[in-house]
Amino acid sequence: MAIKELTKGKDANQLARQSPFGRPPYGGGYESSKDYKTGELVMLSEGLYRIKQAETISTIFHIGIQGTLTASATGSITIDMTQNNRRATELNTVAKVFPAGIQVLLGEQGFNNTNQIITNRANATSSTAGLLTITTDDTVRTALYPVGTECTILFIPKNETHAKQFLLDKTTMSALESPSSDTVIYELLWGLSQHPKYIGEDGEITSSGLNNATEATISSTNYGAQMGGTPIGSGGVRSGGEEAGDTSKVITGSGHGASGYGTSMVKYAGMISPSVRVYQPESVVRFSSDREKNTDATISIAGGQLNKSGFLDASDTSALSPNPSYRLLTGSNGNDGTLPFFETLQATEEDLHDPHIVIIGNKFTLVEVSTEEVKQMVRRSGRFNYKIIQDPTQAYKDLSDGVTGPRNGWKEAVEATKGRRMSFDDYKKLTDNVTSQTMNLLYGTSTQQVAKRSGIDPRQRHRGN
Amino acid sequence: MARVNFGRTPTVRGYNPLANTLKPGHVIQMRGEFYVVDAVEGLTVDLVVTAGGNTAGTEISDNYDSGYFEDADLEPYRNHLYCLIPSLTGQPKFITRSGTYDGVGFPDDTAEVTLSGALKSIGAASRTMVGLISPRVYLKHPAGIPRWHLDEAPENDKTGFIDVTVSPHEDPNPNFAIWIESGENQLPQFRMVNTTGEAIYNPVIHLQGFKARLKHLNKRDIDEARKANGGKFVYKIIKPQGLPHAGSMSADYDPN
Repeated sequence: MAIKELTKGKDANQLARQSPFGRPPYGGGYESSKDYKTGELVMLSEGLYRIKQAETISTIFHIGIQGTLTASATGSITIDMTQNNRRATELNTVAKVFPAGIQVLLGEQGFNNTNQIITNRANATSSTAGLLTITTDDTVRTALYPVGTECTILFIPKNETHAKQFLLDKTTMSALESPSSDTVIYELLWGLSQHPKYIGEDGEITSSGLNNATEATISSTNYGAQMGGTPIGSGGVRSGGEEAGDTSKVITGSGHGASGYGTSMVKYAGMISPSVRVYQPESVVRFSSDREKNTDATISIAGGQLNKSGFLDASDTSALSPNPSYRLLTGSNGNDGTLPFFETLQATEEDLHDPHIVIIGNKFTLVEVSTEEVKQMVRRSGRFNYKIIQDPTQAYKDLSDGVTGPRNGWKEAVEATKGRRMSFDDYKKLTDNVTSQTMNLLYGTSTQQVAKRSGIDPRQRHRGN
Repeated sequence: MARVNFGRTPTVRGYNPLANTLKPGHVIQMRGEFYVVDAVEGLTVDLVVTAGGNTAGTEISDNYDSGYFEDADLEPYRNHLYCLIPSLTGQPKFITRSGTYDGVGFPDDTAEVTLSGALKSIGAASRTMVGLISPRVYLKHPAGIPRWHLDEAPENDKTGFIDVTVSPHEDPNPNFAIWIESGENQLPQFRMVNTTGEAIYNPVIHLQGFKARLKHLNKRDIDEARKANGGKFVYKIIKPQGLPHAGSMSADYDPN
């Protein structure tokens, strides 16, 4: 019998752990809306294509604090958490506590490179210079992860107050962009992990954390018999004291809000997450209102907002059920540049353990539809139907109001139309600010039609005619 | 106190049902004109209610009334159209361990319960969460026109509001979606009123939906599209202004 030799998978300690809190127990399931299916025709900015194959893909992108190693030894590492965006001064001025048990992912996320996961052995406090030293029982592979290595701390410490919220640098996973522009496309739905939020035993609603270390002391008599059946607050762990008539016993470790929160934690808590802003391409804010793009405020008051638009949290799109309104398309542009970047804002006033983005989507392979095939379809049925795949670099980058000038300014427009007479219709088309897909849709896709309106047919370089 | 978001409930799917309302290539008719949808993108806006004395944007007390306000940043570019669903986050509501529930906020349960009698349970020594509350939000859109009201009660404020029961942040109710066109008089005017009996720590109106970029179609474009489609011309009708309004004159009379 032939034995098929299989490639060994990555070691578990090279893979970041799964969600620390799992999926919420009662939530509805993921519902994928497959907008594009095998065999369908799709219009890209580069022309008409047919979907050859489609397959589902999934991944997780960890959005904890990114840093670089400034020291690397077998039992400890030091991480420089300095962010370059100047909106994370909190990390460089306030000592933050990183609890035992949190993990650090060494190496870049994505691609087929090697990673190592190390676990923090003891509570660690960062310096006010933004340096954090983690000790670990794992053996750090210092040769693979020397000083200068990129790493991700799977934890974001709380901001002290609302006015001290902080913004982490934009990060990305370069593997999110498909390997071949305009012949392999990724359609990605993404959702944020949910983190349980508690209210403290004393009624405190900020910085309650996951555990309340205070003890509930019972000094009265005659509680023991009841304790057997009715735990205090349903959340405590008793250390002795079951006997009736016993006195002065202590109920310790009253966790999770202590008074009644243990029975069904999610029943009593909301699920929070950091806020995330998406850029695609790197300099263009997505999912933001027209007037709020690139207008971040300085947070100085308790109720202030960095920006009222563009930040999404788990209420907008959750890992449990990614919201299709915020889908991302990569690889749909002939010039690439469709890689999304994620910017994380910590404004919850709670420690966040392993915040991450779950990405579920589809990849498509495409084949270009020739002019001959289009003619044949028209001959057979008089018309043909197609769907549109938006080109993120065209569809979303506009900062223009469509009144004052063309999409990329007059210089580019004048150069593109040099030597040709411009009618009023030409002027309107230039200032209308629409994508080439819409132009294809309205004014045709034949070589002559495209050449007439733009001077250059971008498909020529593919078709060689 | 700061503004505190208590998060979403984990028990609903929570997806945006507007995702496929408009797609690139769709044709819409709006105010008698035709437009082709050029591009569509998800959109989210959080309006922290800072009107009516809540200038810091922190918590709002019971009986707070913001009055109607508008946010100029909600105006889209000339060639853009917003479709947004207003929604509210829920705030946990408790009954205290003594059984009271009005204005209890987040009770301090650290005080020791003295058990003076035999067989008395201490299991009840905790507050109990009973639900989620939020302020009410009223809307006038376009400016000055009350929405979501009964015809014969346009401005008596007994009708025409949403709260977390009607449209929660994690699962916004698409029936209350509004279309926002360019132009100052197309801006929605919101009003937040807190009649919950509690202070509310996250007085934010969340707006979720999408924006679409439109290209106006002239008669020649329409004729060509009709010709290319075998004489058919398929489009959706969008009425940004909602139903004709009965008029607000009668609301001026208030015997109180």
